[in-house]
Amino acid sequence: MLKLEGIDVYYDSIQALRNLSLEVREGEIYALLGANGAGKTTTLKAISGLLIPRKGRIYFQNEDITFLPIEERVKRGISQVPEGRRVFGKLTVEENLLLGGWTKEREIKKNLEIIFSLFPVLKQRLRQLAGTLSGGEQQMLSIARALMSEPRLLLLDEPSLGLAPLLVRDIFHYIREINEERGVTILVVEQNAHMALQIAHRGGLLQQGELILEGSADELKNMELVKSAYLGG
Amino acid sequence: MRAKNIILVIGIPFSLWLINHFISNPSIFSPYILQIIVLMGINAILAVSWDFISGVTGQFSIGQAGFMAIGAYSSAFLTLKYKVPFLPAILFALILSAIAGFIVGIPTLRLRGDYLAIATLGFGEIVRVAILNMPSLGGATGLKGIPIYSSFFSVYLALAITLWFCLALLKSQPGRILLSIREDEIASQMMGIDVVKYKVFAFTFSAALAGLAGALYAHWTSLVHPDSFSFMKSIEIILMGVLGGMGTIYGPAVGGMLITLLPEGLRLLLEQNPLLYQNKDFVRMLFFAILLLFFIILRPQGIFGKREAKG
Repeated sequence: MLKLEGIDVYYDSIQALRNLSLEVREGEIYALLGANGAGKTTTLKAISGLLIPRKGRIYFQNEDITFLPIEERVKRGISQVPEGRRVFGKLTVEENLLLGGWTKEREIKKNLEIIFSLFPVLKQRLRQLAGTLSGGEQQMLSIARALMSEPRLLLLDEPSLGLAPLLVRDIFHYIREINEERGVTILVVEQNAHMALQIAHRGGLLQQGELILEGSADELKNMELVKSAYLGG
Repeated sequence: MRAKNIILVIGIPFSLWLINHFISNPSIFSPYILQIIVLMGINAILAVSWDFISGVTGQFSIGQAGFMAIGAYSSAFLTLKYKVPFLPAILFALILSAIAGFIVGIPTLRLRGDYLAIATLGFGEIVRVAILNMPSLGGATGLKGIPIYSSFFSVYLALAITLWFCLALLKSQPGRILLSIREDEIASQMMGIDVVKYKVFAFTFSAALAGLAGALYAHWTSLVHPDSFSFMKSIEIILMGVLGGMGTIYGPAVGGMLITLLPEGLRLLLEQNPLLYQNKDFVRMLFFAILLLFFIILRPQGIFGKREAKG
């Protein structure tokens, strides 16, 4: 469904991704792991269109999207949940959701119903300013906002960031539910490798801008390198 | 809702028209009072125009006086030299300042924060200096003898339409998009919003409103001069917006009125003291500066703004 072919991404003169190739298959949860600065977020930015690779190609559903503007990618079904949630703090929960669905204006009602069945707590908070929600609720809102554009591929950037362990479990539970029940393919970037590999089907390990390992979640869990470096022994 | 709208559409202009008769009668209100009331309306439109780009969309502009100048000079030129009626002249001013906003907006709105502020500041000064050097626009002497077409009625009708339009826009999807750009540009981009397009739209619209205020101003004072549209005017407009409450639209309208009214009150006080009265411009600026500082420190959300959520 999504294919990166040998992409190089730079921040000005600093190279962040080196010849990265990666494939995410339809219907799966793919976990991209790695330490700080490994290039995880950069990979997502290249897919969503915030950064354009200098070399290589990105294909989505067999179409070349390497140079498409962000809005075009959203319309085709790629939606990103940014790192650190980034909800529109001084707008209400409802306004946040409506903004998320602005490329699919005709489906807004239907999509809101779907969101409320998935995250009932958001329905109670509709008129509340998003900035006054708790961290976990903001993360839910951020995911819900991204779902409003009816994505086929959801990009999640560190969904566990800054959340209490119990909430992290909740959020990952929701991610699995979105994947299983709504059939959305998910690419999740995580430092919490343990949690990510529990829900992922496959995954890869990034190190200094290169993909050094790839495999099924079970394989990755048992690899020495992953165990020692990212799973704590 | 429908019935209410019809009543508003007919009722507001009609009552403004009635008030106009009453207020424009020199035996009831002195020309001095009328002068202040009309200028309050014009400044309210200016403050709203600034709030639309800076308060709502979050793009800090300090060149609003430049667009006002374009509106004032272009309409005055038409009515003075070509005897064009008022309404077409206003429309021309609106369109010309909108075009200027569009042209300035495309390159500058890719800039952020301080850089955008500096670019708009530069634009405002360019307009002023350009007019200063154009003999056909009167140069340093300005344009005199502009027909007095503005009235309480036309100014407040323009203000009512401006407020209604901006508030309606704010509740619609395009309005929400502008607010989201102010809140978080990158997150808006991720929603699939063409951020630059919407910023240019907001800038163009804001410029058109400032042009409208300029046209009304020129046809009320009967005289336009490059000094009326200096950097200080832009700062005054910002003060109106900050005082009223950025991003609320109606707040800056009230702020515009207060900032017009306050110096008049101040003048009455200063007249008691010859020394202060001699330096009244200085005292006025000092007063504005203290007021702005006071608001930024103690009440950054302005008179009508919502308090920002902590954390």
